[in-house]
Amino acid sequence: MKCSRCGVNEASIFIKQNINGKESEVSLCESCAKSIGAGGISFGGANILPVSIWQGSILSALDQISKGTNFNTGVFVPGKAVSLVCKDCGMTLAEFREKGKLGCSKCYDAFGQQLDQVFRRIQSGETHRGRRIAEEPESIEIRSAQEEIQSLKRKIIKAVENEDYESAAKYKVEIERISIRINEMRESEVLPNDDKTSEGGSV
Amino acid sequence: MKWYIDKGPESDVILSSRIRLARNLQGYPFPNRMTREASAKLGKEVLNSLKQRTDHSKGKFRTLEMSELGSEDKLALVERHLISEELTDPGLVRYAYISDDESVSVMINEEDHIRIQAMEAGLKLEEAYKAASDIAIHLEKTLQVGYSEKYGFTTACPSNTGTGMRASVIMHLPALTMTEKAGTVVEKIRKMGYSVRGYYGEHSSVQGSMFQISNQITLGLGEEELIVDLKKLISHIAEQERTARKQLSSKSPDLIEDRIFRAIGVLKYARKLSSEETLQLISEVRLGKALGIIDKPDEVNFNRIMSSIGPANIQKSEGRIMEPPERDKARALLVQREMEGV
Repeated sequence: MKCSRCGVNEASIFIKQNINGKESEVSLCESCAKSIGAGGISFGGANILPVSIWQGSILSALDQISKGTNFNTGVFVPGKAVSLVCKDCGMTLAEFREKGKLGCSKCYDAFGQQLDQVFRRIQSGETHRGRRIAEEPESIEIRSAQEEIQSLKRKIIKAVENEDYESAAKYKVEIERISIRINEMRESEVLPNDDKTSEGGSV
Repeated sequence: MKWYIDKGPESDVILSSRIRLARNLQGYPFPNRMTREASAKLGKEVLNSLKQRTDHSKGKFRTLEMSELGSEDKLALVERHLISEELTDPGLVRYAYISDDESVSVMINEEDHIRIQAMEAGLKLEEAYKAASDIAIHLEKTLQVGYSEKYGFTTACPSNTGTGMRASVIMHLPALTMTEKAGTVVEKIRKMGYSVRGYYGEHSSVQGSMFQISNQITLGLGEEELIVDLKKLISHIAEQERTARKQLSSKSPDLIEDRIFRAIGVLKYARKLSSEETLQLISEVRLGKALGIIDKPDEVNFNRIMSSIGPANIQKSEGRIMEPPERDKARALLVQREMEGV
């Protein structure tokens, strides 16, 4: 088996990893394993991998993905490869496969499909759920209060289905109470020097 | 006052909390494809924006151009977790922008254009997140920050995309280590999708029972959720460590006391100390303090020793380049001073 990092040497080091319940194996040749610091730290019987092995898992994800495409060896197939070059920085899919790193922010548009597959393997999905650009963060209290409202809404639907209107009314009152609390929390969070007028950072 | 000269919440088990946010600018390739000229231009642009900030809660900031620093100065910053090793690579024009109390630093032209990090003593992830995101929001409002509606913040490595956030906590787990339970705990943490490293971060091995635990997921979950999840995990491990400590001190009190007092003896009277040995001994004395076997030194002393015993910091405080045997001597003297009155 060839090394999943360089694709040239025979792999001699095989590392199993389990990320969020997904098992995968990275096969590396000795020199690649050395250069990314694999081999890990043995501690109390457990093998702790340094973070650079994470890079290995991206590369192996990319490797697997490429098997389903025409880019098996990083050699371009004429006519099909044209769209898989970032027109901003010139990064090709083959280069991305080799390095595991992207070339610029526009690469995310160029390699979206491939990235989605990488993200499905190494991340918790392929869609951003965090703070949006230039947005103020909501406190954890507000976020959990919002979640509480969502769960009460689900309870209302269930209660109505069961014709338990008394409980549904109770949940509704509870939602109103929490909404008021959220507004109060938001008001107390606005800082006097908070610069809300400046818009910037393109989306 | 430096941030680490402080005793934070849950300091019996948790040394420090850190949040790191990665951001990039549009219109420039990422540092792995950047020319030196572009890196200099981007550096100026980011520094200009940073200097316009009106929030002075973290005190003044100093700007360091990496190529102007000596190699020992650079390594000293690495040892104090203020910059990463990658920032010391001479290929591009790179900067560090560091607050007076050293709790906040911004690295420019590291793996990503901008890496903001905030540190706090003890378990204070929310506070660290606030400090880091305040700077991030300012940059997002004043610069063309790379962002996609679908993927969130763009980063050079897909392992950082989305929130661009890495939250980490350094835990002191001597009892789990002594009872050989640490291996199982570490295995579990890894299975849950978190990474475990040593005190000196990336590529470092576990020394002195200090473990750095951080999230690996950055996309598909919000910052708050990631922090809450990490905190849950940390609290769970902390409880296991506390239980193991109680069991140890009730089952074999003599053994524990012997280890702790031996460690104090060596730290106080040794004439030569390597950084690795010092970290190990500090770990045992710290356990003694947490178990109430000794009442001195304070966490403050531990933190100060740990931040100053790295080879580069020893040389920096002595003001000259030293060979390892000489450093070991200087280190022993430094530790002796901190252990006075113990």
